[in-house]
Amino acid sequence: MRHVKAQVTSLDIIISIIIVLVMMGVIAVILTMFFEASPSREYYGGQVFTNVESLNGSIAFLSDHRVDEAKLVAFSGLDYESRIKPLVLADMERFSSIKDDVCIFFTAENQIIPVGNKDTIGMTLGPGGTKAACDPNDPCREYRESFAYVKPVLRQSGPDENRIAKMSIVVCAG
Amino acid sequence: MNRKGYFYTFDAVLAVIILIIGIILIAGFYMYAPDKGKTEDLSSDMAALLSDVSVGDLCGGVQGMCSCPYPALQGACKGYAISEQDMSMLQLFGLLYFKNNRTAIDSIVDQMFVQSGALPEGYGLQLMLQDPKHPGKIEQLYPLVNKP
Repeated sequence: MRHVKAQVTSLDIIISIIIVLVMMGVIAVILTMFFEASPSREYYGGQVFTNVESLNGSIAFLSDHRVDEAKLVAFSGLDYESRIKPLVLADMERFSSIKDDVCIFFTAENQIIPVGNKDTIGMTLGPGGTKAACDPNDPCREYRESFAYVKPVLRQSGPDENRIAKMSIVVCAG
Repeated sequence: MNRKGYFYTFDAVLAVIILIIGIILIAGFYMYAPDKGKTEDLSSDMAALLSDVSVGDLCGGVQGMCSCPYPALQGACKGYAISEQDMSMLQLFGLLYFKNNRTAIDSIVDQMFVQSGALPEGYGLQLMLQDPKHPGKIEQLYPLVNKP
């Protein structure tokens, strides 16, 4: 009688382990499918920099990791809603909502490198719910999600002084 | 007979706990997996930047060649009397490697990418060189772990 009980217990343990392993395998497969399906160039930031590097004419400020200062200032002077936002977020279905916003800024040695007389390019919602020039320290405070994309670039940080800077494009969603 | 119910309940609770631990472990593995796409983009950007940017871009101001924003780069530029404005940073690294001055490469990379903040927080950086004279031999130029 004791032997039969022991066999039942062993079988129970073996079945439990098999069920747990199968369940873990099923969950792993489901998670793999889910996580492989979602990442795209939109999420990785490739598209947003492709858009910036595809700008033409007097606003084509980024090429071969170099920033053209005059063209950058010209770009920063464009109207945000009608020009800057559509140009930067072009062909990005994930960020096609009117509520999505974009903030561009440059830093080196933890200091903001201004663009003309501005610290940042772009507008985001401020504490009062009104849109204003974005705050580089916390541009997406009033949004549900934020996506930060960075690229090392050559920028002029002062008169006759070029240095490597980090170009950040932060997309605030929802 | 009532005790049998306790055993079944205990068995079920135990199974659920094991399942939850399994789910958390697997989900945690996915949640904290590094963002491979961003890392690849960043590494190719850094390699392209070293190829695109010349010594003259950084050091060739009106004050003359070798007026650089990074002390290590200025030291190398003056030390080897670099006069070629078009020499890319990668070519400079090649020259420094040839001159067996890997410490200078290490310092330049550190000042250009790490201290400048160009490398985002949470990322590490390694610079490797495959010596064409010694196939299969890979030198780590940054961080310099074994000083030449």
